Amino acid sequence: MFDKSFPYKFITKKNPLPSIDFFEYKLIYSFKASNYRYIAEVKVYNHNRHVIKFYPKHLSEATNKFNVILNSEYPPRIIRTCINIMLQILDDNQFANFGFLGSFSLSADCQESKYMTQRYRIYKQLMLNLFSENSFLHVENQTNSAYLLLNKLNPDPKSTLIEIHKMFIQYYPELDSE
Amino acid sequence: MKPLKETTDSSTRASSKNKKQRSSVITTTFDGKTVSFRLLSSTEIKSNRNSAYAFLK
Repeated sequence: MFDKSFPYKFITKKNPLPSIDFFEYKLIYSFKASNYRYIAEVKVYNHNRHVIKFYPKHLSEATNKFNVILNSEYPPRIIRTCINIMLQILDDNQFANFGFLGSFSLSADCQESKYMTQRYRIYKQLMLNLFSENSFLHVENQTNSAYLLLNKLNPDPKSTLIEIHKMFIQYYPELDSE
Repeated sequence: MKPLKETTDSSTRASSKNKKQRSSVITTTFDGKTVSFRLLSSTEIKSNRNSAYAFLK
């Protein structure tokens, strides 16, 4: 189901926003899916933390670009393309850590809650299937549908986790308290 | 940027009968907000994996 992907291309590397001191740069990729072109953004923070997001290019300016569901697309191939981008990043940086938030889905008649969203459940299963516990620590926050993969090649991944955790709370003020 | 007020680290055991079945919870409190991340155990990862392969062994 997740074996096929789309060819993607690297577009550019963008400099950080000066107001966020732990944000280093952003990598932009692009790929054409069945019906629409997609943008994959990889935000790179200190501690080798990489957060990947993707959205349809024609919705770039929309505030809900991470929440919409396009029924005309076949998601597994799109998601696998983003995983291939993660693997390329890992080839370039063997110490890379990864993280994501599974955005809640939004449609005309309903809005999903932030707890264990549909996207989160799919992405988590893929992380479990594809990234070995021998190479990564798997860390989750179900309340906010957040997931971290901590690279065990880093000298002290649990200390790194605490630092990443602090950044996560600072950068995502919308996180729900426990 | 506001400083972090408190960081705590605690561990819980998911099953007293299986020492490998451990999970750790890292809890951070910032500006009155408490958020916890749970470290999945090796056993939990293996038992929830529904594919015969992993990219990274």
